Amino acid sequence: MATELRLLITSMVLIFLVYMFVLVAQKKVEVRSILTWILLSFGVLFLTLMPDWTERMAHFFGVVLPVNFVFFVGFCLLLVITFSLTRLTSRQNAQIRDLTQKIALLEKDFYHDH
Amino acid sequence: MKDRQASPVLIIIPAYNESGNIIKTVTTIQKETPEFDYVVINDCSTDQTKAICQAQGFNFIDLPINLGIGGAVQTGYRYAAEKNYAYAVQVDGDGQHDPRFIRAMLEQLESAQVDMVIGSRFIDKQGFQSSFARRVGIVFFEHLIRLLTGKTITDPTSGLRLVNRRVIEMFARHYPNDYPEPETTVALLTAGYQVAELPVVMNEREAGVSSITLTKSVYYMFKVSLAILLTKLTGGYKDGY
Repeated sequence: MATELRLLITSMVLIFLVYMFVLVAQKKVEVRSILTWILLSFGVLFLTLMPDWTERMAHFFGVVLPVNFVFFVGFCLLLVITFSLTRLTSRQNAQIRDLTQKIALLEKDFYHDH
Repeated sequence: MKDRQASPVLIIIPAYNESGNIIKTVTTIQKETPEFDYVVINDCSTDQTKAICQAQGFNFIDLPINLGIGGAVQTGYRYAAEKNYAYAVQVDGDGQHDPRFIRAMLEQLESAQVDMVIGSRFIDKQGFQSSFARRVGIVFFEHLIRLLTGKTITDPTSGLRLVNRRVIEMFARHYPNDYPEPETTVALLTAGYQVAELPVVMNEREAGVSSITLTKSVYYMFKVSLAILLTKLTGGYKDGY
């Protein structure tokens, strides 16, 4: 992988990590939520900073250019993250439905007007 | 004018699916520490926990959805804050904690002028010492906490914790969702709060199953370590939080 590219990817990942750190410091996001993003960042960082290792892994899987392997790994981890978000929203939908029904039933009992 | 409470202490009892244990846990508290108020937080149990609490006339809060240990206990702290309690102590719903230690913990909190007293199994090493795997994790956190805060906490995952009014209000506003004990301890220490430990004896869980599995353990170690590091770096429960 070209040095310029590795530098670019490394700086982008580091900026992202700092940004996440600042969000946690400002209590705008919970640590639990960004765990997988931190994993993704370190995964990409590792592959970018260990070019020999990345090249061997890439060739092992039949990928010609190591940079494509980095993007592929990043992409797969992104899929994991987005799918986990799908599971989360599905669970939250069920919780919202549950709460809505409970409140509606409570209000009926409480207000005696319907 | 908020309600004034005769009992200075509120005992917070988080309970999820504890039909096998909850009667014994609460009646022990009513018998051994009748001078303290308690509240059971039913975390939307799917078993008979709620029905049992109703039948027994226990003081309980019924969460409409399951929040997990963090959310359930935080509900207790919000209740303590609203009702103006001076102190709050967590006692597990499964009967592992002995409420008779609460008086000693309160004494220590007042005489040592600390903000939190943790009941530790590992000072005198008496009673139920937990599984080997969990002890490994606990020792790991003990070292990590000492590295980051300089303070030795021998039982960082202990759920038996007594806190004062300042901490009640902090916890009521912000409390982690899962595995909250080590993280909140570091958050308090980082912000300058004082924490002390008292040797206690805990019992083995009598009925039901603990909710920890291997995957959860790995997730737990990773997440809590990261949370502790970030908490230390961002100041924990500092003023204005």
